[in-house]
Amino acid sequence: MKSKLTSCGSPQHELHRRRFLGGILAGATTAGLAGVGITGEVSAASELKRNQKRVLFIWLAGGSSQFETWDPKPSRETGGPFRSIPTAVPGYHVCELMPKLAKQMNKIAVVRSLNTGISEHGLAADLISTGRPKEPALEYPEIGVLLAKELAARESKLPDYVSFFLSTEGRRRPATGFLGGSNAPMLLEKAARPSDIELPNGLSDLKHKEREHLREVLSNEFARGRVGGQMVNGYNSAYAKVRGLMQSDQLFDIDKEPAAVRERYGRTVFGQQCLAARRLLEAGVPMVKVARGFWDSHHDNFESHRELVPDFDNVMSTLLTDLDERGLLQSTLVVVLSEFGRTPKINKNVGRDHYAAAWSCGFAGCGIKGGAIHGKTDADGKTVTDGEVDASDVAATIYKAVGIDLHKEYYSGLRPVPIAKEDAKPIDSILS
Amino acid sequence: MTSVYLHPAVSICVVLALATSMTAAVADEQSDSKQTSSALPLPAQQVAAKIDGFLESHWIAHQVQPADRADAATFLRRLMLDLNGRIPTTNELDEFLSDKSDDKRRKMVDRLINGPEFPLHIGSVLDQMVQTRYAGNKDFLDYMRKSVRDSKSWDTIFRELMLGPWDTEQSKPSNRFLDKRAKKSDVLAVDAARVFFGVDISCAKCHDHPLVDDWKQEHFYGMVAFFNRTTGGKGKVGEKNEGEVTFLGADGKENVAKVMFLSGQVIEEPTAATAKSDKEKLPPFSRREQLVKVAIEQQKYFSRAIVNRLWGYFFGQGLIHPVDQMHSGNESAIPGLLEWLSEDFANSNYDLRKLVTALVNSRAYQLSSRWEQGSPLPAPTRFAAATLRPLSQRQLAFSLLQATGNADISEPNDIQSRVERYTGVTGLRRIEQYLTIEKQATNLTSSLDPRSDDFHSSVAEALFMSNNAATQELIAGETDNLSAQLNEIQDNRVLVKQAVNTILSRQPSEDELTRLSEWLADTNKLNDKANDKLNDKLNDKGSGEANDRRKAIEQLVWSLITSAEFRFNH
Repeated sequence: MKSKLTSCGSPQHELHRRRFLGGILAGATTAGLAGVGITGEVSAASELKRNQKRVLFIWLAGGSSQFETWDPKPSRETGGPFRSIPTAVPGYHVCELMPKLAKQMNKIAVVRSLNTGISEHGLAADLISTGRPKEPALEYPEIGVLLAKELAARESKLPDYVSFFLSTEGRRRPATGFLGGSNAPMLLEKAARPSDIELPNGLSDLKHKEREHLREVLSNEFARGRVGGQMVNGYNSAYAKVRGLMQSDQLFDIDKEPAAVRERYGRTVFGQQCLAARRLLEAGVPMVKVARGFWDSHHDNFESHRELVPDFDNVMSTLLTDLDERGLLQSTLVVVLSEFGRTPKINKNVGRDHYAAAWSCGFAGCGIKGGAIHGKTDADGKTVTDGEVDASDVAATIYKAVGIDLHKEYYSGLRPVPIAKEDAKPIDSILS
Repeated sequence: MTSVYLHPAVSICVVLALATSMTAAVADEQSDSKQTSSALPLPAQQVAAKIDGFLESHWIAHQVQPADRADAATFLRRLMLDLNGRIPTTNELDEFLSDKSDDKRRKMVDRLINGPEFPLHIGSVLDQMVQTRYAGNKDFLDYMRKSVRDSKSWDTIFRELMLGPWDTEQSKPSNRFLDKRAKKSDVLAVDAARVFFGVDISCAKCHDHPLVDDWKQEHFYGMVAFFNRTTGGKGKVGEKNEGEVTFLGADGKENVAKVMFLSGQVIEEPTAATAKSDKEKLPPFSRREQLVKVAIEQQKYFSRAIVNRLWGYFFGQGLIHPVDQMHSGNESAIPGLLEWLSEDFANSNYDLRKLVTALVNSRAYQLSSRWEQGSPLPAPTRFAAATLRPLSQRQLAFSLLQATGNADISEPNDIQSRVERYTGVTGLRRIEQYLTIEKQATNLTSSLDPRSDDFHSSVAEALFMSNNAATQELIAGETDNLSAQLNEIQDNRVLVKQAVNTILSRQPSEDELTRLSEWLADTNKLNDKANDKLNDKLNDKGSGEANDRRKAIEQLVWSLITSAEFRFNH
């Protein structure tokens, strides 16, 4: 009589596998996808859903202008042509290009007092995205890579980190630094849906699984005692995600969303990516990054922000409402960051240049005190006058918001490296 | 920045002095190889021995016992991937393994380096190195390949890229480095400095470099000033007779940039800019020509940059790493070696073949990537073992095609040999085969992960290898490829031996032979209903059992071509 097929195949195969692995059985079990919403019904998973923490990074690549978003200076020489409007937070005004977010300001915390020093794209992006100044002997991972590692559900078949960057982010890939290649995110660079997630023609699922198993065993044997063997770990972990992704085919398919929802997010690339991001977060992917480019407005700053900010306003406000309605906002931290802000001075091309001495960022959701406004700049937005913070403080705030111990140590070789920079101070006034 | 300000020229002198004293110390230890700095160029074998000397002192100084020498099969695979861009064929492997002579490795290096594939492959490596994001243009690639084939020296290549002549169909493509970047002189300056001088000055554009004391704003604009008169962008490169670079200094004042090289040397322009020659290729006083002159005169940046880059190519990381971050704050891993090699390279008329021959004949290049010394793994800067290096997209695609029997690398038949003799071009057949594989490879390359300093394996590549039709076709035993050939073999052990030999370029161990043949037999018999259904659909193509066996073989081939051993140069 034929026994029921397990995912690992026949009993005699188990035996060989044991021999291959020296007694340790490989992890190819039938454990379902952690999280919800892919293979079937939510049930016991809803508790998990509430407890698992997630982070969404919205990266406004190129450097968005604080004047045209969170820190307007209307009627000043530096302020530009836009007015400011009141928000749900008494006394706090935002640029008139963000009417929808203005109404939801009770969900959002704003930091207006970033002074981060570096105003060159690559270096500044390194600084902000790692929360650490560069050191010659140590390469730090991106904050998102660390978050993914910290927040990952064990035995999840989903990627721990999905990073969307179509053509918009200058092709920057999140750095894994000393954590190594096995922590690299899944990159969606060409389309919002990964290619090659269907079983090849003529191949049974079992054979597909068997051959991957053999591949992994051979690779591990090869890597043992090799110099550079950690690259093999990265290589294997990329393959380890293949079968999970094949099962979560529908997850990336935003056509599965009702038309009304798709409309709410807007039919822009950014909107649709944020919708895809929400699906991923809901299904249990702990870390998602969506990058939106073209903010580097050396020319015609006001024209470009007149286009970019309303899209951001619409998508971000829709996203917050959507996450809230699904009961996910409490467990999902949303962070809006750039590599720097833009100059108070309006240049001869009606543009604003790079400015790192006084700029803003926004937070919402998990661990955040909605409506908290931290820090101040002077009347012209040239300097920080109150509550100055730097890149490492922002990173520490993010870690603390999702409950990660700032002093937890990782090791780079023999050197202990705490998650947050030693002297970083989380911005407690915006934390709940 | 708290470090004391040193004028760049001064700090470089300090480094040089330090380097010289170190070299002397090394030379003292090896009393037989005392060298003065302006020595005659050494033959490649002696350069290799000199490298060994530096490395041995380096290991002693850091108390590391280097790894054993890699075995012959590993060496051949490594060498062929590096020089020819592909793994060896089974014939090449068998021949090499059965050669019992002591100097077979050296002979193989000579054979490959003078063979038809070396210029084709290294030409593409140089194309990538020089053109980076603009690499892949066939005309430029052919220019590089011909340059390597004809043993053109590196300074000649540099001169041709910068100054031409570009007046014939043959020589024109070499203007593409300038032409692709000519519209923005700062891009041109940054790329030229990175590629040819190994330094990244881009951060000194808006202010003195925040992290590197060597690079001030005047260096950035000094380099731009060499290029600001260069015109081009539409296929034709020229140089104007006038035009200055101005920039806003940190003090808020506008400055006119001096025409200044990285060393701090300023080029004085003749005051009476005479006779205008508007439509000529070069004006009477060409700033670009001055750059070539000063760079080659000064030698240091120019020679070290390429030596360090090639070292990085063969060893996985540069002596100074990253290879475009050569400055006084970024020390070389092995004191004195880069300086010595660069000087010998310059004295050898910038002979690329000789440099490559020396690098791959060195002991360090031929070490095993296995670390069996009991001590913790050494830092990469020790070069005490070979390190795994991911194959480039090109190397991987070529090797995949070849390993699976989908590329033709057969020896020429009688007629073809006769054609070669008649035309006087040996290797004609192989060149044609190589270019054919190159074309086939385009189906694969863009889906594979590029080799980079911080190599990441992407899920996209894993998905592509697992599920894409193009990769499944490689292993499908329906055409005359490896899977089909293996399918003809009845004995599983013979079959496995052949598969490992062809794909992994080595003999399987006894243990592997046993386990893999068992795996094959088991997979063959797997209780697999889904597969039975698929077989039913294929009924016209033969019995279910034959299909089972064919598929099992295909899966074995798949597992081998996707194993880490295949993915990396080891």
